[in-house]
Formats: sequence, C-alpha cells, structure tokens
Amino acid sequence: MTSLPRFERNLPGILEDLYLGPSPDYRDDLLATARRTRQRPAWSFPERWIPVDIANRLAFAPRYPARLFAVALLVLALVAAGLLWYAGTHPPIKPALPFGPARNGAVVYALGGDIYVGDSATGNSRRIVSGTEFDRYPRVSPDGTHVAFLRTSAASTEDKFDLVVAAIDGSSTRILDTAKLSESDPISWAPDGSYLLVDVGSDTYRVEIDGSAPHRVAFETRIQDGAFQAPSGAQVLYESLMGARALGVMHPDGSGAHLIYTIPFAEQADNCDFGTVAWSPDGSRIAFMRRPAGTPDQCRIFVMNADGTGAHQLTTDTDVLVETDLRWSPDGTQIAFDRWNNTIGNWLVQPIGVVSANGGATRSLGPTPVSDGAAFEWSPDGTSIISAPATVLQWPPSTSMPEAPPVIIDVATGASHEAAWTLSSWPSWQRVGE
Amino acid sequence: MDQRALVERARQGDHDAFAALVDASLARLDAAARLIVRDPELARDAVQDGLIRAWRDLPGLRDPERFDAWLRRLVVNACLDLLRRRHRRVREVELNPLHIPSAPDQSSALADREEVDQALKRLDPNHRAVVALHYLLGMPLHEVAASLRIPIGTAKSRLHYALSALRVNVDVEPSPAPSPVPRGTVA
Repeated sequence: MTSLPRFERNLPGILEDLYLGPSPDYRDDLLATARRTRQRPAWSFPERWIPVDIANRLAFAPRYPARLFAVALLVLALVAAGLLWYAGTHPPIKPALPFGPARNGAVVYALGGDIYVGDSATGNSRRIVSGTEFDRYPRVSPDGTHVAFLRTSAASTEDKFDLVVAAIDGSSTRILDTAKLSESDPISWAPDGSYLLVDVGSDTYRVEIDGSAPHRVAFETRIQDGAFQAPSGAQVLYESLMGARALGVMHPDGSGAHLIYTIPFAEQADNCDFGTVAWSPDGSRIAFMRRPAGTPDQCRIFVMNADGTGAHQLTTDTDVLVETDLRWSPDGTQIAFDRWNNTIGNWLVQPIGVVSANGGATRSLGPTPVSDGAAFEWSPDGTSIISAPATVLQWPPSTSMPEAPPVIIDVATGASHEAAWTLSSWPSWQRVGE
Repeated sequence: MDQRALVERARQGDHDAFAALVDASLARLDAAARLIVRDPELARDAVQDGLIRAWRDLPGLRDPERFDAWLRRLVVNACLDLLRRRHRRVREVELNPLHIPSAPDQSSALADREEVDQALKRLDPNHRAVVALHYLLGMPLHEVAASLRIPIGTAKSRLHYALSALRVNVDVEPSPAPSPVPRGTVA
C-alpha cells in the first residue's frame, strides 16, 4: 500500500486527536442567545411556498397593465422635462483623471439602505438611490462618473449581495451578474470606469458595467481597491491565495501573472499579511501590511518598489503597534492609516496616523475614533480626510451604532468638524476633473 | 427522538429540540472551526454565528434531512467570513495555542500530529476548510463544493494540494514533492 492511502486513512483520526474535545463551555451561552433570538417566520422565505425557480421567474415576470403604462409615460415626460431643466442649469461634470489629485466632488455614502451624496462644504445631502432593497458599500469610479454598491433584499441579513452600478446621479441603475458577493469581497474599479474586478470566493472576475457576462480572469487570487497601477492601469496587484504567501502582478485579463514579493513562512501572520495593499498614485511603489520579523504582536505598514524590491517598514515608531487600512494621499506624498497601540498591555485605538511616504514618525490626525477604528478616505484634492466610526460598517448592521456623522479633518492643521449628515458605510469621495 | 423530529420541533420554535440538535453537533463543529480559523476565540464566535443563524432561519429549511449539511455549511462559511473580515481589518495579531490533548500516546504519533498541525497552519483557510469539511465532518466532496460555493474541480484541487502539503510533513518514507500549483494563473 502506498503512503497516500495510509495517510488519508489516518488523517481523520489525527484531526480528531488534534481538534476534537469535549463539548465547548460556551454551549449554555449559545443556547441563551438563541432563546433571545426570534426565528424568521416561515412565510418570509419565498422558496418555502413557491418553488425557487418559479419564485425567481416571478420576480422578473413582466406585466403590462394599461394604467401602469399611462403612469410610466407621465413619469417619463416629467423626468425628461426635469432633465432638460437640470441640463440647462447644471454644466456637465468633467470626468477626473483616474490617478493623482483631482477636484473634490460629492461624498457618496449609504444610510439606512439607500445611497446618498453629501457636500462636505455646504452640509447639503440628497438621496440618489432609494427603494425597498438594502444598498450599502458604495464605491465611486476613479473618473467620478459612476458608483458601484452592494444590494440585498430589505429583510435579508445574509452576507450575499448583488453588485449594482449606477450613474453618479443615481440614474441608470443596473444589477451586474456576479452570482452574489460577500460584504467582504473586494471590489476594484478599472481606471477608465468601464469595468470592475471583483473577488468571488477566491477567484477574480472582470465585470463590465454594460451588463455583459462577467468572466474569470484569475483563480486563487485576491485583489483590493486600488489594485490598478498608474498611469495606464496595465498591471493589477494581487495576493496569491495558493502556496506561498505572496503578492504578484498580472495584466487585467489575468495574463502575465508573476509573483514579486513573498513573506517567508517563519514571518507570516495570518491576521496581518496583506490586510491592505495599494499602489502609490504614480504606480512606482506598493504599500502593504505585514508582520515585522521577530515581532509576534505587531502588524506594520511596509513600502516597496513596483518590482517588489526594497521592502522596508514605513513608520519608525517604536511602540507595539498594529497599523492597518492604509490609504495613499492623492499626490502620493503621505500615507494615512488606522492604528492600535499595545504598549501598556491592552490594544488601544489611536487617532488616524499620517506619515510621509518616505517614512518617519507618525503624526496623529483628528479625534480618537471608536475602538473599531475609523473608516476614512482622503479628499481628492488631498487637503482633507473624511472619517466615520468603523462600527457603522458591521453587517448585519450594528444595533448600537448603525449610523454616525462623519468627521472632516483638515490634514494640514488637524482641525476637524462633523458633517451635517450621518452615514452607515465607508465614505467614498467623488473625483472631479479640473 | 430521531433527528428529523427534532428538526421539525425546532423549526416550530422548540428550544429544547434545538438544544438537543446543538448537543449532537457542537463539539465537532467547534473542532472544525478551530481547524479553519486557528484560534479558539475566533472559532467560538464563528460557531455561535453559524448556530444562531441556523436557529433564526430554521423555519426556512425545506428538507429536515439536510439539516446537518446545512448547519455545517453555515458554520464553515461563518469561519471564512470572519477570517476575511479580520484579514481586512486587523484587531489582534496573536494566535492562541491550539488545544492538543494530553492523553498519553506514542511520541512518534504525537510528533506526526504536531507536524500535521503545523502543516495545516501553513495552508490557506480555504484549503483548511476543504480538509475540515471532508475529513473532520465527513462530507462528500460534492457537498464540500456546494457548501463553499466552488466548482467540484476546485474542491478536488484544493484537497489535492492540501493533502500533498500535509503528506510531505508526516511521511516517514520519501514521497514525491507536491504537484506544482499555479498561482494567479490565467483561467
């Protein structure tokens, strides 16, 4: 008998020896939680009383009642009139270049299941996408013309979402076929805004915003927001999910994939490595998270050249730190990030840190966020950071803090003020052309 | 009372029936979660997430015979979701030591187990999930694939890779190196 069948035969026993113990001590807590949790009524599961295929067909079944047609025509006429008025009073917004500084547009955010735009200067806000569905996690395209977001049915708390794209004014909403995304599946806009790369499971798909069928470009890979390299977007940064823990680059169609940076096994940290990775706005460098060798408690930001050489720790702070959620400033001269300090034995959240992209000591910026840290974004012109408590990101939504007003922080002075509106998502700041 | 009857009762809101179902599966689900997430506290969170979700959504389960497979899927997906969330937003970086039974055993067998444990640590969570579902929870591969929302071919390739990696670490006799696995390969 070969070693393979013997090993396979023994493996269940080995795994039981390693992991199977007596009934866990949290059994009673779990059952107590269940007693406090109401079951969903059976009627709220359509597939319980209608076969799934029929239910799905019904959901899209067209109906043509005459009254509806008349109302639709009236609405269309009103919309057309409104559009003519709007076009006459609002000059068209010039699309931004995809990389580098741009003019500040609106802040796009989710609140209570709808998508809004807010003006950080005037405090005005308005809803651009509404309806019975629950929309969250909006991300504006690099040229500022479109917004992608996740959608689920209002009653659902499942971590499965449709990917939806709309024009920046909320019009032309279109559901893109992705076979459902997780809330944590990364989404990255192509520089020209014509498609997105999304991770479904552990594979990367290209999803055109015109609604044509998505196709897989790579497997066992993970991409993140900011995966496209400036200036042309011809290369995409990815994390390999198979074999070595490594970063690689590939063309957007998945060709030419090769690894550029590997973390040795002895230095790996499951909950740190490549938690955030991003190209610099000029495409010359890559910032990423990893555990510094010999520091089991820490997770720090590293920066390296575009070809994977010259990796070095960015900040020189000597405290025991976790640095995460890094964001390059639009001009590439600074990097902002969330951080926690454990010098006194407990992890304590710190204000957003900002450091020169060439390294050095960290400067604290703005108020100390809640313990979950900050969900923040640079303004396109690089002068401000908009920051929200990360608690509002939870899915299903947090019961204690489902929404909160964001804080606008002046990067030069550190002065901050609350926006006039509240949000329940990571903010996304629209870039506008000069 | 058989499991089908317990599921039917739990679906009607019977907490005692749900407790019986939990008692029958909790230890093994906890073991699978600890194998996948490599942290007892995280495993506890994932198992609780999965089981509370199961309780809440039980009225929507159409086929009581599928309860076990459904429950395993909920817990394993809760593990992977939790890891993905933590991967993006780091809170703690220290992993707690795993539970290793202290029962007397031959030293070589214990060494094998520790080597398997170390080899599992090196695997990606997605590979560990396939190992947990197939070898610890006894699910056939087609159900593993369905549970993880991956094609059967992907489930097979992940299992092949995981086994190759594990075997290299515990084989006494020389064995071939694991098959090369593409990284970021063109689909």
